[in-house]
Amino acid sequence: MSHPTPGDLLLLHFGEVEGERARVALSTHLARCPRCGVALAELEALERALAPGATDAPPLDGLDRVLRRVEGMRPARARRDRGRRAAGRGRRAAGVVLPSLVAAMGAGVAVHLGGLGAALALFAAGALVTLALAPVLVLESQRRSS
Amino acid sequence: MDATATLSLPMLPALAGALDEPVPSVGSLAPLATHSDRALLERVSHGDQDAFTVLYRRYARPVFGVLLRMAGQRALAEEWLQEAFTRVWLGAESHDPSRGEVKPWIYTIALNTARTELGRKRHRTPHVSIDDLGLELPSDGAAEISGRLDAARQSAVVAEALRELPDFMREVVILRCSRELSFAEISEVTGAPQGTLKSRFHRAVAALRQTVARRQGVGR
Repeated sequence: MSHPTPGDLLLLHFGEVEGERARVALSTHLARCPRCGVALAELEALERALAPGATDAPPLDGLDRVLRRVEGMRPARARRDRGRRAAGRGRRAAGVVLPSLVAAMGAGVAVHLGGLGAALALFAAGALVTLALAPVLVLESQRRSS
Repeated sequence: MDATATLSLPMLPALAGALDEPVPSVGSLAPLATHSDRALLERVSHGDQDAFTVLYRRYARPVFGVLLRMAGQRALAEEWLQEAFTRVWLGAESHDPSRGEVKPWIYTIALNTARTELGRKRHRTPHVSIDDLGLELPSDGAAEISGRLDAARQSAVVAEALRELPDFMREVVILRCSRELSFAEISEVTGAPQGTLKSRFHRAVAALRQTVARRQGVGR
């Protein structure tokens, strides 16, 4: 076997050679070839020199520091979720308040004019207006929240 | 290959055991410890701090090791680690599972942080020579101690030689020697093809060999 390429030696050293046959062939060559053995020993030495040491531990308060820093900062999706929830609450509130308001106005006008029939007619008109506007309001809030 | 100038560096035995300490997992975090990275990141994107804590504990140490070698200074690496994980928290949603796993994504953030900060601070960072590290051998030192000091000095020689390499070479050596990422994953992180990465690694080793031989020659 001719000398493996530097790339093959790297893959062998880091255990990334694909296929058992290729790995055995490379290992067999290395066992007999002083030149390639030196190259591999060099890689091992480099890796040992860069091996993690006791001082490589992250600071003990590292997580606390990050958590303190991100406190009040919410991930993008969480910010949007929050916005959607707020928009949903707004829509629900509008759905309750608006018809109530129209109904109250209708009742007020009816009381002013007098007569049960007028009161009922105004109340019905108010309810119809609210129902007609509801889809428009909902669509508008969805557009704003997205 | 020139066999006269090789990297010959002993391991630091006193430090090896420090890597095996278990990751503490207590209370409400225990059920999350078994979650996949993706599941954790999904929860983080909704603002789940417990999931973020588990993810941090899973990756802080190896990422810090890489940042420390990139920075060459502990204080700087701590700062970058904090910045990188802040970006993980804020950008959790931007991870696209169809484009890769969480681990390379986190390393990409860390590497980008290091690149940005290095570019910003390089001209301000004081250079500390290994001659200023106080690693002289004691005249009556016991074999074990002198061996340890020698290893520390040699590691410092390599670390300093590594800092002389161009960024694109240094990155691949540090990332691959961390044993956390394969060449395929480093390709994801750096955006460079695997063949290019292997070539850079090989060239980096050749450059390191020359620098170390020069420094060791000077030291004798």
